[in-house]
Amino acid sequence: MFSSAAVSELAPGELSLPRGRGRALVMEPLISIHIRGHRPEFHPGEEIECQYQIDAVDPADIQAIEASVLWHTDGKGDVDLGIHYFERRTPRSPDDDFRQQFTLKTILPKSPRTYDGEIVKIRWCVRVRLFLRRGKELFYELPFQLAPLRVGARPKAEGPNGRHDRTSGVTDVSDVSQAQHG
Amino acid sequence: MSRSFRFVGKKRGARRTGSPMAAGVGEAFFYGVLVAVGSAGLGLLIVWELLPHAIFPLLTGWAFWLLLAVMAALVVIGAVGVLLTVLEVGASQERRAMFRQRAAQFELVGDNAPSPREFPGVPRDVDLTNSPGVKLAYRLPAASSPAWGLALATILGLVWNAVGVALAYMVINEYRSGHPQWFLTLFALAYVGLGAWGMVYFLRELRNATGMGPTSMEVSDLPLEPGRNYEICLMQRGRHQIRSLEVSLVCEEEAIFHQGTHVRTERREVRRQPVFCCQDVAVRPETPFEHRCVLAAPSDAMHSFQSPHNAIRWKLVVQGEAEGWPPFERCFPLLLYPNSPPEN
Repeated sequence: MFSSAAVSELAPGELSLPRGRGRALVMEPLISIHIRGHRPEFHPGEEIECQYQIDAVDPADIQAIEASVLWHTDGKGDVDLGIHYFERRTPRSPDDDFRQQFTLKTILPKSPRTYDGEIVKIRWCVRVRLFLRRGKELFYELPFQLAPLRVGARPKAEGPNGRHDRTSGVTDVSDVSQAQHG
Repeated sequence: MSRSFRFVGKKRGARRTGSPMAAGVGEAFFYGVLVAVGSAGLGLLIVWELLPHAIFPLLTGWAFWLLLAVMAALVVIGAVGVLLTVLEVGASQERRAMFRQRAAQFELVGDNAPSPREFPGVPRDVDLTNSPGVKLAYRLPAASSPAWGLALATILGLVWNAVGVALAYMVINEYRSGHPQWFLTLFALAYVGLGAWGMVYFLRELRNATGMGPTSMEVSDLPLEPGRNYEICLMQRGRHQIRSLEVSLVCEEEAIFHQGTHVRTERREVRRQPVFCCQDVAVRPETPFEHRCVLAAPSDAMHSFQSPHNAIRWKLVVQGEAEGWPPFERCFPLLLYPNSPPEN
C-alpha cells in the first residue's frame, strides 16, 4: 500500500521504502481479531465466536482471506500444526469488499489442551491470513487457551535450582496488530 | 550489500532464504522429468512389442514385466508429485495442514487412524488393549525389548568371528609354510582380540537381558482418565533375591527436531509419581512375586499427546535391584485421556 502522505516520522504500521525510491511510505494492511465473550480460558465443547476484519488495504488488492482456529506446538521439536476450523474467502466479483467484518464460530474440541511443558508446548490461536496481489501474504494470530494445565499440574523437578515458571496466560482476548509476513 | 538474486538458498532453522516459488517450480520440474522418462519408456516398450519380431525380438519373461513395472512406477510417482506440488504452491501452511488432515481421515479409518476422532492429538489405545490380562483386564506391553538388539549383536559377532577364524587360518598356514607375514599376524591378533572382547561383552549383556526373569504388568481398565483410581498388578518371575522394587507413574515429553542435516530426538521426564515400593523380596520359579496396588491417575495432568514431531507419553516404570545383578528397569506405556469438560 502506498500512501501519498509524506511525513517525517513513521507512524505505527508504516514502513519506509528502500532508499532511492523517494519519500513515499508503505502502510501494511491491518488485521484485527476479536474473540467474543472475554474469559481467561475456554473449555472443550464450548463455542468460540470470533470476529475479524481487514483494514488499510485497497479492496482490489485482496486476493483471499483465510481464517483458522488451530493448535500448534511451540517447544524444542519441529512445529506441528492441527487445524480445527478453516475457512477461505475469495472475492467472487470486483465489487466484493473484503474489508467488512467477518464472524466465525466453532465448537472447541476435547483435545489437545493448552500445555506449557519443558520441551513440548501446545498453543491454541485464531489465525487470519491475508493474501494480496503479486503473491504477498500476511497473517496475524490471537492466542487463547483451551483448558490449560493448572498450577498443580506442573511437572516435578521442583529442586533447589528451580524451574522456569509458567508463562503468563493470555489476558487480552481482543487485539488489533500489525500483521506478520507469511 | 545484499544481492538481488541468491543462487544458493541458506537454511536458517526451519526457514530457508530461497524463494518458495522457485523451490516449487524445481520440485515440479523434477517430478515432471520422472513422468516424461516413465512415459517415454512405456511408449518405447509398447512400440518395441508392436514392431516386427523378426527385427526386434519379442521381450518375454520377467525382464518385460520388470521394465513395465519400473516405467509405470516412474509415471505414477511423478504424476502424484506434480499434483501435490501444484496443490501446495500458493497454499498457506494452514490450508496444507487441513488437506493433510482430511486425506489422513479419508485414508485411515477405524483402527489405523493415528487419533480417535473425538480426541484429536491423543494416540489410539489399540496397541494397549489388544492383550487381555490373567489377573486384570489388560496386560500392558513392554515398551522395549532387548531381543532385536541382541539378535543384531549376535549376527555381527558371528560375522566378525568368522572373518577372525579365516584370518587365523591364513596366518597359521603361512607359519607352516615358513613364510610368515608380520603385518598380517599383528592384524589378525588385533582382530581376534577385538572379537574376543566383543564376545565377552555380548555374553555379559545377554546374561543381564535374559538373567532377570520377565516382568509383567496388568491394569484394570484403559485408557486412564484423570482423577480415577485403577488397580494394577505387578508380576516378577525368575529366581532372585530382590533388594528393592519400585513402580512409578512417569510422564515424559519427546521432541524431534532438525539440527543441521541431523534429526535428533530429545526426551525429558517431567513428572514422576511413586506408586509402589518394596524391599527384600524372594522370587522363586514356583512362587513368582505378585503385588496388586491402586494407581491414582493424576487429575491435574496433561493427557497423552502425539504429533509427528512432539509427544507426551505416560508409562509405568519398574525399577529394581537384585543380588548379583545390575539394576534393571522395565517400562510399560499407558494412555491418559483428557478429563471430561465440566457439566453446565
